[in-house]
This record gives sequence, structure tokens and C-alpha cells, in this order.
Amino acid sequence: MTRISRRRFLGAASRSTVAAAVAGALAYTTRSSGQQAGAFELEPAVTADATAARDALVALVTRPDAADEIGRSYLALHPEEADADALVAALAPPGSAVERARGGALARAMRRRVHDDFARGDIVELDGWQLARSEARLCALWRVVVGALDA
Amino acid sequence: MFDDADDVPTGATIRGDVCIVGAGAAGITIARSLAGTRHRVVVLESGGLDFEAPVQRLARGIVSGLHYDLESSRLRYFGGSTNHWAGMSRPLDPEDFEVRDWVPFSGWPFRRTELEPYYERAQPICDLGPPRYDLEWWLGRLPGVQPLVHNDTMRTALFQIGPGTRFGEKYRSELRRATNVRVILHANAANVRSDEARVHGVDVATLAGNRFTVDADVVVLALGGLENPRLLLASRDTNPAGLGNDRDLVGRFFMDHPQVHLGRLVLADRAPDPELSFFVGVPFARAGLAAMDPPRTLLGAVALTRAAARDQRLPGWSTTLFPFEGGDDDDASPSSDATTGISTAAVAALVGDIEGRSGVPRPAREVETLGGRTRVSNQFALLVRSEQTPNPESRVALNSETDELGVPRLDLHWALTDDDRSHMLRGVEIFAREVGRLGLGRVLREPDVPPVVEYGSHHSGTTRMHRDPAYGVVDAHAQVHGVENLFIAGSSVFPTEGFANPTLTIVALALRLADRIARVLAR
Repeated sequence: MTRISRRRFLGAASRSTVAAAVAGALAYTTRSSGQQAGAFELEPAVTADATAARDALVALVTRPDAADEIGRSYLALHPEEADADALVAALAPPGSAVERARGGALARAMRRRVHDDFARGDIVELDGWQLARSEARLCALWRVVVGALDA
Repeated sequence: MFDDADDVPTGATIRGDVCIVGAGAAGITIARSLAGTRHRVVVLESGGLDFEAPVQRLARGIVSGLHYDLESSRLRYFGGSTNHWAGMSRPLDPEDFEVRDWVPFSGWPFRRTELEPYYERAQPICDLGPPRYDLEWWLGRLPGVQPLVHNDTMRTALFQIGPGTRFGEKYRSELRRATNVRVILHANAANVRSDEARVHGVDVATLAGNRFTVDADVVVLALGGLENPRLLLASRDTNPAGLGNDRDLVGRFFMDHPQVHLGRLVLADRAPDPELSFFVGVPFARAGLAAMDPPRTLLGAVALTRAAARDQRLPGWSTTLFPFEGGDDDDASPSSDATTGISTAAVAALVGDIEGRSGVPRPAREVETLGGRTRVSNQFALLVRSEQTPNPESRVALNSETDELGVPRLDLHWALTDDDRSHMLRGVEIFAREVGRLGLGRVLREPDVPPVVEYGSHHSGTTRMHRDPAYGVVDAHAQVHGVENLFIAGSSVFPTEGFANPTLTIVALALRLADRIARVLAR
């Protein structure tokens, strides 16, 4: 399996092309799902819809270094959540606005979800930063899906 | 007229109708209120017209509690601690006067409305602007200025920053002209003479060795929150525990405003008024008010609303936001972030992604602030100041050591409870929730309140006011319970302190007390 280093990946991806690169990387992993398993690779049972949802969520991240930093911290606190499918399910549960949203609406739905987290007090404290659980999970999703490129 | 105690012969007795002990904001205000009346007013001031180190050393004492610099936290010369006053002014809020069942020993013996007319009169005395502290009034005069937050949970509380009026300088000539007022400099009160239910006068001592007495029908102690209890405790003519101390309350309930850098705000691009004008200071002139020299300024703090404080069972809480140049420069933060593994830049980027903007911190810009020009980007340090809850174990007592005049030195045991500390942190959490909910930014909260905290030198509570002598040293009129002609002025009578700086309230209370004394003398 050809692996690209995370550093190379990030270095090559300008902010405007990160989303496309992520989508491409995810497509690559889907195609190579029969190879050596890793956090970066999808389980065979993952549906196309779930993959699309995951791709779309990860594409919301435009600053990979930041997401990686925060995602790593969140996963250190919640290692049990180091699973892309579980994170997608938590961020976009069936019937939720995030799950239904498409295109530009996804960012708005995610923003509302984050604001709702703050309103409910569903906050995680990472190194003192008071973050909405959903935004921390989004970063964790990035870390699980793309951060593993560094492996 | 002004005299010097060193010119008063030892053994002399000076007769007055009122003896005011202390010439700070409270003492001078009461003296001015009585100037021009038929009452003979004697004002005793420990120092002279300027700072003198030997006099200031009389303020030394023992600190047995939290760190506190006793010698520099107040000033012993004409004008008192207004001689280093920064001018930050705001009245207490209505809820500060109420009984709050989650704040032990809370509740003043009157409502805020009782002080309203006195607050209005206090404004020009302190060289402040119009007696308006409501945000809406100011926003109507400040186009383009927006509060960061002002809703049911968090509000923008406004302070007027005056010139830090030096009462000793400003009102010296007025008192010099007053034929019924005699200010005696270098006159240290060593004892308040009393029998069972009355005081008769004050024994005065000077560093030069003179000893004399001032007899008066009414005595007012206006020495501040440390020296008022010290003099009461040291005055033992009738009670070895001290004057007015039948219930062992004198000196207890010492409060200050703990203030700590407890976090940081990274502001989202979509926040209103990204320069946060209220936090860098808005000159009055911008609101169309007449220019003053030096210019008066409006400064904002974010505070809990009355409803939020009640719902969260918190005392008064506020934070001031201090801009500093941001970016990925965590080291620039006044807040310690040695343990921070997540960079500010990472959070700024996340905020940008979530809130729909680039996440790239805006370039820093230079703006005028109270401290001069400073660079402002999207980072602000949170200086939290909260109301200390009344605590009888936080106290002023006497030490066995005496000063040069033979008066026992004070022993300050300033104590914050675990609740006081957790209140400060809890407020940051609520602030973080609110700015997150509104999409305004994200907040870093320090893990703990450090053992050593800064403070405002706002000595309060040590002769607290309460209708019931079981809970207060003075009654609602600031008269010492059980001593019919002894009154206390200053923040030592505050039963609770809110989060506002105390000087404006000290002056308002002094005006009210002057009215009371005039009525007492008219009997």
C-alpha cells in the first residue's frame, strides 16, 4: 500500500484544496479497503451514505494542523471515541439537521449544533479551552481519518 | 482652617460638635457637607498634605492570611487613599443590597433606591460624568459601538473612569475657607473615649510626642476598612474587647475584590464591534459629551446578570477584557499557559471553521486605550473580579506589637474560601458557554485560582451594617450599635461588596451620613 505522509499531504494541500484532497484520500482508502486495516481505512461494512457523510464532515475542516491538534487532545481524553463511524454517528445522528444537510447547509447545521452544545452545557475542556463537544469531535474525526496518514 | 497637631500643646482639649477621624473620600465629603453650618467640625488627619514615610509606616501590620501589602494599600495623608485612586467608578447594583439566600450574611438594611439621590450627588464630587450606567443610554449616544454580550445571562456593565480625583487637593481650599471646619494635620487617633453608651471624644497622639484630646458630641470614624476596626478594637475604655465589639464582630468579615487573570478569549470574526471598544475604553467625547481634561472614559466589563447569578447561586462576578496582540503567540498571554497543549492559533482556526470565517486572526491594529496605544487583534485576557462572600474568619485583629504611638498594630487575616475560588472559575465557564452559544469566540479557562491573588485594595466589611446587632457593628444609619453618638463612614460598613469599585459608594454613603449627623446635631 502506498502511503503518503501527513506532512507531505498537508504541505501539498493549500487551504482551498484541502477539502478536495480529503475527499480524494477518502476515496483512495475506500478503494483500498481490502488492504491492511488502520484507522485511516474504512471498514467494508460502511455504506456509501456514511462515507459521504464522513467526507462532507471532514471537508468542513480547512485548517488541518488546528484540527489535528485539537482532535489529538480530544482523543487523548476520550480514546474510546477513536472510531470514524462512531464519530460520524455522534455528529450526524439519523434525523438530525447535520445528517440531513447537504452542501453549504452542512456548515450552518454544524454551527447550530455547536451553538446548541454550548447552550446545553455539553462542553469539553481541552487544555483549558472550553469547546463544544461537537466541534471537538469534528476535529477528532479529522484526526482519525486524515491524521492517520502520518502513520 | 488648617492646623498642625504638633502645634497643639500636650494636655490641651479641643472642643467640637463633630469630630471626623480621617480625611479621605468619606471624611472630606462629610466635612464639606457640614461646612458653612453652625456646627463646629474638627477633622483629624494622620498625615500632612503630602506623603511622609514615617507617617505611612504607621500603616504597617502583620499579615497572617493571604498575601496583602498593608503599607501600600492605603495612604495616610490628607485625601487618604484617593491619593492613589485610579478613578474607576460604578454604583453597586440593586441586587447587591438584597438578601440573597445563596450568599451568606448578605443583605443591606436598605434598598439601592435609598442611595440613588446620594449617588447622583457623588458623581460630580468624583469628577465623573452623568449619573448613567445603563448600557442602553450610552449605546444611543455611541454609534458603531456594540457590547460583546448583553442578554439574560451576561451583561455589559459600565464603569466611568474619572481622573482619580485627589480629594485632598481638590477640596483643600474649600475646607481651608470654611470657618466652622478645623482640619488638624499629623493628628493620629489613638483612642476613642467612651462610657457605656456614648463616646466623648478622641485621644490624639503625634509622632512628635504631643498628646491632646478632642471632645465632641458626635464622633465619625472615617479611616477606611482596616483602620476603622483597628481603632475600635484599640479603644478599650469600657470593653476590653474594644469599642462597639460586644458581639465580637468588629474586624470580622474583611472583604476585598480578588482579581485574577483566569483565562483568555479568542474572538470570532463575526463578533460585533471587533475592537471591543468598551474594553479598550470609550472617551466620553465620543458620546457627544463635553470634553473634559483629563478625558473621562467609559469602560466595560462582562458581568453575570441578576437572573443568572440567582440561577447559578453565584455572588457578583465580572471580567474585564484586556486586548493583547495575538496570533500564535501564547507567550504573549498574561495568563499562564504552561500546561496548554493546544495553541491559541488552533482554536482561532477552529472558530473560523465553525463560525463561517477564515479563522485567520485579523492583523493587529493599534488603538488608543486607557494605558496608551496598544495593539489589538482577536485575543483578550480575562481579568476576573468577583465579589468575596462575607466570611467571619476573614478578619482584622490586633497584634501584640504596637506602633510608634503605642497603638496595637493590626493583624490582617484575609481569607478566601474554596467557594470564593470556585465562584471565580464558574463564572468563566458561564462566560465561555455564552460566547460559544452566540458564536462570538472561544474561551480558555485556567485550571485553578492561584494561591496568591491580586486585589483591589478595597477594604470592606469590617464594621458591617445590619439592623440586628447580632450581625452588624453599625445600624442602617451607620451608627455603632449601642453607642448613640459614634458613626462609621467608608467601605467598612459594606455588608456585601458587589463587584464594583467602592469609592463612589463610599462618597454616596458619606453624603447620606452627613445628612444624618446634621439631623442628630439639630436635636
